[in-house]
Amino acid sequence: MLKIEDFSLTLKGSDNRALPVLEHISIELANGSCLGVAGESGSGKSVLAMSIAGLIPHRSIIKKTGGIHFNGENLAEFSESQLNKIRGKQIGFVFQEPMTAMNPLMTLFDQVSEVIYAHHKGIGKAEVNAQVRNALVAAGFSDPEKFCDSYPHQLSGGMRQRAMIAIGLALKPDLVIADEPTTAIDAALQVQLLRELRQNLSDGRRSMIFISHDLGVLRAISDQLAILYAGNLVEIGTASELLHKPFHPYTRDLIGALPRLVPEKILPHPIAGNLPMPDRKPVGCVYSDRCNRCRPECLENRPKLRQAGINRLVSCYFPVNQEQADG
Amino acid sequence: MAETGKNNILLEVQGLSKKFIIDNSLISWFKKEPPEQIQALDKLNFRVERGETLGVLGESGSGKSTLARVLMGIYKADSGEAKLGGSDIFQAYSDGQMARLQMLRRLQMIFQDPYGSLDPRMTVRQIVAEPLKIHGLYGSESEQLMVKTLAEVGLSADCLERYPAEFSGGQRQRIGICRAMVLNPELIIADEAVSALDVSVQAQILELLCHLRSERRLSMIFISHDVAVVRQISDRIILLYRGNLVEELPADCLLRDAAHPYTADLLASARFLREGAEAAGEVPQAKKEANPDGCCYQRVCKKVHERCRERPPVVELHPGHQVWCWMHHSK
Repeated sequence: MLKIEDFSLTLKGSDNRALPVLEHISIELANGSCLGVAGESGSGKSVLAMSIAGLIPHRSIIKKTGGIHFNGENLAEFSESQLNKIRGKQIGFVFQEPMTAMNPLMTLFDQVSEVIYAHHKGIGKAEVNAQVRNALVAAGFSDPEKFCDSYPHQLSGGMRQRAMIAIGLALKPDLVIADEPTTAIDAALQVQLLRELRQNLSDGRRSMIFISHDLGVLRAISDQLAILYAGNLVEIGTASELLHKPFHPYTRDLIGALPRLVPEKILPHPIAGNLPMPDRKPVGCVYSDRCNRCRPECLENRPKLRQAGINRLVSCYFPVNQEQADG
Repeated sequence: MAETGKNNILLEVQGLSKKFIIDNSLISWFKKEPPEQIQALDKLNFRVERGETLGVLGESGSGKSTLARVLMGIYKADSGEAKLGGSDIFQAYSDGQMARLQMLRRLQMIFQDPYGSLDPRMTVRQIVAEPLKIHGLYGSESEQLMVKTLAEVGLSADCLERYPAEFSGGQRQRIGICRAMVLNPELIIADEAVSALDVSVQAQILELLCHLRSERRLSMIFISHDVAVVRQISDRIILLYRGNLVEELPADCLLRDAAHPYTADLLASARFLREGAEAAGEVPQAKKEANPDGCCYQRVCKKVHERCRERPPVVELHPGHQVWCWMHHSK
């Protein structure tokens, strides 16, 4: 359904500096599955999501190479008007912060119906009402009529988040891109929303890209998991296996930094150092300056993604958890 | 209560209550309806021992931030008592500026948002010096103290002339911790101090807080919604649900011995989100309504019983493990 091929993106920073925010990303997404994208802030995960939907303004792009193939067409070469036709209808987007993504002067009904009117000119009022209702119910509003005339500030945080999901899923798009849709929500509600989003994939025709910094949430929802670091795809594989047995040292360290939910007291291990700035990445492996397995080779050339085990790609010369497997 | 020394108790809170009036509009005044009220804190009793980290675990609307603000004097408590090393906190807050400042010197806060809690137009020097100046402690040795405290939180002295915008989120949180530490307070209240940070940075700050606790024998109230974080950093944990204490227990017991149905449900959600555990059944979700009489959890509790319409008693299961639930009453 979606095939990202060797996609690189360089953005314009302050002082017109060239910032390579994404480098040689290749990902394939099959029908009916969910791809999780994990990364810390600054890893490029939101930029990747926005690039797929063509939401990066042209004036801030210095260079864009590679392709984003969606249902056989290359989105990277689409014009704005072509993109408008598929955004909302074939590709739905659930934004990160509902308070800034929603228009404060529009009621819930207007915000959900906007996307329907945009793609169905001359649609009847009764039909719109029914579709808005369905979208809201699907996003977990138990009695949508009660909230249709509410403005965003009158909704609770959880309801705003649900409203975002209702807007993104209103036209039943083939691909849903959800950018941190459940951050800052209570655990119980997160569990429900994740189930609902997962439910949306159950007919096997639709797929989802779920972006989050939270590995636990990603394990719960995704089939495939991609780990981004400093604009590079460092590892990709089946979510549960990847988290159980990471190959890339960064993935391992990221898991180690997660506070453990265990009876024993085990403090999480911080990763020393900081994420490099996009224009000051190491020449060799992007993780070389923080990696404890770094050897001279790692400083010279950047490792390419290569097959490592079944359904796993990793970009590391000296991956972890591998020695035993190799013999 | 355990006899391990009355002297060892740093903070003792008793019967702390705070109510907010939500709908104070003219309309309800004309209609002669009573304004809607939210019981943000309902007769809380707890204590913090010296050198201990007390975790306060609760979801949004549980009253955990209100608790921090009431203790810091940002909100005024309706009733109840809080004593810091024997002296009455709320009394000090109402006794005028001098008494208030004296109390606040001993009680400092670390905020959630490392971007919002530092003034962007102040240099780190001004930010860290501000509490010293407010409390009239700024003098010739202050420079040395500031550099030493900065070093303790992992920042070098050349940070002093820089502005918050030049730092990453984690470093900003270190500046916030430095600002709280520079007065050498007896108790630190950290309200979601690591929630806005990336996991790798979060781990750095947690390590720093643990280091400070052992080096300075720092006492802390650590407020968070994140079960795993609270479990790992705290010695004891209290759980709040809609302003009520539901359980108090040693952190080491949280995952094994949690007794309140709410705690069990919270752990089920947390396990699902952390480990993808499929064990989590239907997780109940509270509606935004006023608390019922009796147990605060009765509307969503799977084990609800006739008796739950009355306020549950506190039951001590083990020394240091208390639960506010009828289910454990007869035992």
